[in-house]
Amino acid sequence: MIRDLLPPATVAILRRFALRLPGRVRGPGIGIHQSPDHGTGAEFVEHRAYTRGDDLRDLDWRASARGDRLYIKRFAEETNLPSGVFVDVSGSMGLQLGETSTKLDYARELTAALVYLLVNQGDPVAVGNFGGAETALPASARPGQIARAITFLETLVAQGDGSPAESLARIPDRVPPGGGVFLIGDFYDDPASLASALRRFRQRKQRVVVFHVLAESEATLPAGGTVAFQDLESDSEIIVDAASYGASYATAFSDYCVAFRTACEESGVHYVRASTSQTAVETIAAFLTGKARGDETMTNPIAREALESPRTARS
Amino acid sequence: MTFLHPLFLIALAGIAVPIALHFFRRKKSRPVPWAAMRFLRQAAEARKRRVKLEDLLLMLLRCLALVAVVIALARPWWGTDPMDSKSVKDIALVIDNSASMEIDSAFDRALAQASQMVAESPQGSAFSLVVGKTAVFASPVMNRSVVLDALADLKLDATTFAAFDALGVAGATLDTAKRGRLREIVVFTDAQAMGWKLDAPDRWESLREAMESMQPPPEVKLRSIRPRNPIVNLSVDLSRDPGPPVIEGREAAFTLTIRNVGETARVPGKIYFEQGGKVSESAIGYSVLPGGSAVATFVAEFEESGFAEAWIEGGDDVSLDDRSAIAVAVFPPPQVLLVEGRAGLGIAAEKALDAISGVGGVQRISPLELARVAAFSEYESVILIEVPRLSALVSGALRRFVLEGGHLVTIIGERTDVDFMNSLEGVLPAKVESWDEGCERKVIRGSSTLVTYPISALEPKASFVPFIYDLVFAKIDVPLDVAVGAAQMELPRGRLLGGGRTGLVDGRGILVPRFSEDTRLSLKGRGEGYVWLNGEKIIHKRGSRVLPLKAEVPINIKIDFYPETPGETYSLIWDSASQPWGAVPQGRLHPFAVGEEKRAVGDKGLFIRRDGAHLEFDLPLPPGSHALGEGIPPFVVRQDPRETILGEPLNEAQLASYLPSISESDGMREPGHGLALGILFLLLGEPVAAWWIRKTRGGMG
Repeated sequence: MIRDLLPPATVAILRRFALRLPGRVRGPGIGIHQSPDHGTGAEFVEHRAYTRGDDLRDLDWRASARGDRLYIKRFAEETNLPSGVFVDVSGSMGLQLGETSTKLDYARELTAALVYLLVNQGDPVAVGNFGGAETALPASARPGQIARAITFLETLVAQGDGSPAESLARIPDRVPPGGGVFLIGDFYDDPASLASALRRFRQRKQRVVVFHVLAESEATLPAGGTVAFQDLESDSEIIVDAASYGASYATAFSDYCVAFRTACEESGVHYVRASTSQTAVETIAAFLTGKARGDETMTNPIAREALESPRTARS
Repeated sequence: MTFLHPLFLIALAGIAVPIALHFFRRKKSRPVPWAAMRFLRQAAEARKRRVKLEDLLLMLLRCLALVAVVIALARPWWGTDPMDSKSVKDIALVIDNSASMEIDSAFDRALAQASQMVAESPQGSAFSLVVGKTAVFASPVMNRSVVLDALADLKLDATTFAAFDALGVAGATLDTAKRGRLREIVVFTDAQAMGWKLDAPDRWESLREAMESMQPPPEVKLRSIRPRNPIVNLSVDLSRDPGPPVIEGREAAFTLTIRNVGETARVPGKIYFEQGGKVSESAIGYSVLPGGSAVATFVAEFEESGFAEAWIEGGDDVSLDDRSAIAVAVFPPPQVLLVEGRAGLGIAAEKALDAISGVGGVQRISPLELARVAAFSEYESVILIEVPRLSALVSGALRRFVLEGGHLVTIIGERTDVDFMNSLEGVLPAKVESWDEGCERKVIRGSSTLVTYPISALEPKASFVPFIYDLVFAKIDVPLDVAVGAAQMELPRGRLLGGGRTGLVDGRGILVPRFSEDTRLSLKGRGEGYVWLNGEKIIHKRGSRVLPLKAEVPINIKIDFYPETPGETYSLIWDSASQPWGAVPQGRLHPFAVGEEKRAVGDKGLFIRRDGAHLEFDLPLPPGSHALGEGIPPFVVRQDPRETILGEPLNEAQLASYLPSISESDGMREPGHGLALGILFLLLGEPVAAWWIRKTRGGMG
């Protein structure tokens, strides 16, 4: 199971990275994230005159020898980051990407990679879902959390017909204030409702990263003939001539992508396009290195525009 | 509307196929699970109505294309059902073979339509065929292949189309068939009003009466074959400039007038002028607008009588009027014998003749010396000026001279012995009346001219020169009557007497007035005539005009005459203070031998009879230049130039008042062109519409 979602090759790549979110955090334990407090970290901050009660181990003898006063070396506090990774389990995530995998599978891989990274750097991480029946794995920074998370992910099924925006609105309460939130999904909902939900994370001073999972095949309608499009979130069906609606659909899709990207930016949410044409680890690597890869495999200009617009805006 | 092949209409049921396909395609679909349904719904909502409309339009186009193809295969006909046995008729096909039918291949299209009508007519139909006004079959023929072969053999001979005659002949052919069967006359024509003579209602009235007397009366139908594009046409007209007769070795000027009688401007191509085997070339480098004209002048020297011909290069729609020829009679310098009974006048006449260019030689003798003249035939003209009497020997020689065409001018004066002159038989054209100072008379008959004139009027030299000139060149004349066949004839310089049985008789001449005075000119003869003086029309059909003519100024006269019945003649009449009412004398023509003469030319059976002064052509003459031989003036037979100008089309309503049964919307018409265009439009329209719809929908598939 673990090997399916976290194959050794992926682990080998992930070991090279650390996941640090911008800003300082006051975590419950020691970690790699900068804290606003001074403490026992490795990073020197400043010298201060010795006062009674200071730990003598903090005395900087060299500096004290050069002057007539005693100086204390002050170090930055490094703390861990309570985080939550949440996966969209709405029915639309059940879209087949090939013969065996779905968008949800892709989201699972992303989640597993994120959990591995966070746990490995000592961050307590909770795993949950949204867009359907909400379940969660409590936060933990223990190494066993990775296996538990993977087991939890495998129980998820994309079958919800709920509104991702409504579900998102409840997530800020499931993560401590100031914590990190990683949202993975396609977020097919009204962009205005999504923007409203995202604003709540800011109120809780939570740092949010959205992985917008988009399949290349979604950007355009399939070629030729009359197609019965079956809704993955409900039993409804639309029968249309795909050629007749191709342009209108692509325009609507593109508009949505731009609107959601804008909603994220306005809410202070870091937006990452997770195109399924890349592997999950490539997406994570691009996110961590700050280099979002362009999707050259997209040949349709409208689709390319739809998927590239977030990257272009960011760059 | 009926159909030639109605069974094909069963295929109309096939219209169900595109309709069924339309709906079938909509229901058969392949299922595709789809995540982003939200956007698909948005797209569907936005475009649903338009897509439905476009699909419906496509389906309609396909259905219409199918319907059009099926109808075309079934071959619809408007009007009479050609397969109905009741419509079996005797049909006279009248083909307009006038020159204007060359325009836009109208003649070939007429033959094609006639052939189609014959091929698709009901069994039992019989056809007669009239081309121009000549019946190819004397009575209707039921064997279609014979009729079709006859149609295939027809050639455009570009004569003048006379609808009245053609309808008469067509009616006559139908009248020979058995009675009781329906009759129809179908005229295939470009409907040029010219050939229809609608301004002669009495003719049409008689034709209508003749047709109504037939049992049953034929129904006349008109197949109008009009050109599809603006006509490009230049016509050329070669004429000789006004002046004295053409004398051997002297230059004569010719004018080639190029008129744009088409509907579009045209730059004339190269112009060629040929005379006596020598070709000269010229060009007009500017564009001639419709209705406009351009003129080129050529100068040539003639050694003997013959033709001058001019033509332009460069194609237009009507080639028949691109070439023009005129015949030129060349006269030897005339030798004149002056016999002076009054010395002063003889000297004046000699001086006058010397002053006239072109006179070969003048010999002046006294009456007593007349007996020593060996032969009067050495002279073109013998002028007797107040000769009192003649010996018996001389009077006999002069009689032979006159009979052989020699030109004798007898000027009567106070010294003339009137009784003696009247006793001469066959010398003078009329009885001599007693002379007095105020008398003035002139009689011309044959080649002899009798002049009675106030001597005082002749004595001033200024007036004597034109008087002599007139006598020698303009009034020395052998009147010539010409009867022609279907075509018109142009003789070199002079009048045409005698009408063609049809068509235009064209006369040209030069008039040199003796005095400056008001002269009334009129046209005598039945039929219509038009007279131009120096290019200006002065008489239109009827009437007369008084014109101030100037002494010694030659006037170019042109007369077009349209005789009403065969054998008609016309004369140009003048009347002035110095000239009593009478026919204007003719330009001199080549002298003829005396007596009747017949000649055959080629296999045309062209006969010429010399009977006094009369030419008769028993057969229609082919257009072109004709030189029949020694002693006969060359002449040119021309097309009627108006036939190459496509004027206003026939006014059907006007025509209907003459022939009540006439109908331009004939009973058997296949909408071939319209239907073919419709099918083409629909067959091309469907993929174009489909392409356009795909493009507007984005073509994502």
